[in-house]
Amino acid sequence: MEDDAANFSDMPVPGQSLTGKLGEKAYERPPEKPTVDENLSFYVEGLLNPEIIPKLAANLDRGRTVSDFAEAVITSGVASGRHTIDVGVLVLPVVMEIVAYVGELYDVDYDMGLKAKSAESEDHFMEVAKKRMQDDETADSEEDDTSAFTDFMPEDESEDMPIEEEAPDAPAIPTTGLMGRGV
Amino acid sequence: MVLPVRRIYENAVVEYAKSKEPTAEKPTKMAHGGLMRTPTKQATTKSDSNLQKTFAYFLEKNVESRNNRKSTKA
Repeated sequence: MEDDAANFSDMPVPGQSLTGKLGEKAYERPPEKPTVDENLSFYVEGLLNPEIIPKLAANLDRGRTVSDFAEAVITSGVASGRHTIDVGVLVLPVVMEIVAYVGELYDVDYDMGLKAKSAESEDHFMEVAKKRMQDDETADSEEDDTSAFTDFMPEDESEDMPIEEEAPDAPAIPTTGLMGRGV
Repeated sequence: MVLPVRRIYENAVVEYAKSKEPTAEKPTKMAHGGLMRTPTKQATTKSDSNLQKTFAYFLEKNVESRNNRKSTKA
């Protein structure tokens, strides 16, 4: 019991991860490489490194898509404080083409990851979510307003509830108030 | 996916295709009767041009090798 209490006091408070001081995280500080040019040369040199190229090609050969790889590279760059997300978005197409270029060098039948495999994943997931929300709203407006409450109610509670009958010998309730005189 | 990768990439390809198109520069007639050539190209910074050049370089290489690979496979 005491161990449980001790563990409970050691547990993180909900939202504790959001209470860090500003600037503690790498992405909260000014970026190490603020310009597009610096990041461009960093990614070109980094991805076309002779030690990295075979691993990259092996990843593509295993079925990893170019877009997934490029996104992972860019998001890790943002998280590590190398550059801002704006610069990352600008550099992303170049990173994709470099990764594809490595696939071409090794003659790998790679997938760019741009074609959706289903109609649902055709758009970005946020758009899918917005469309679903709109569909739900239109569906709700078409239904009766009370339907939202009746859905959670049992069909008819009155059938199951026993009806209490009044006792036959119950004394008559006086019609006058407390101050009134009894007849 | 966190980033809309497909859109970002497609926009970059569209920009590249636009930059390849020949720009038609039509002179506009001013009120005083003279002709003024309108700037059709947007002013690009050095980093923009480097970015576009690098993207165009790799894209052209990849498209070329993709086409060659298809022709050899077929």
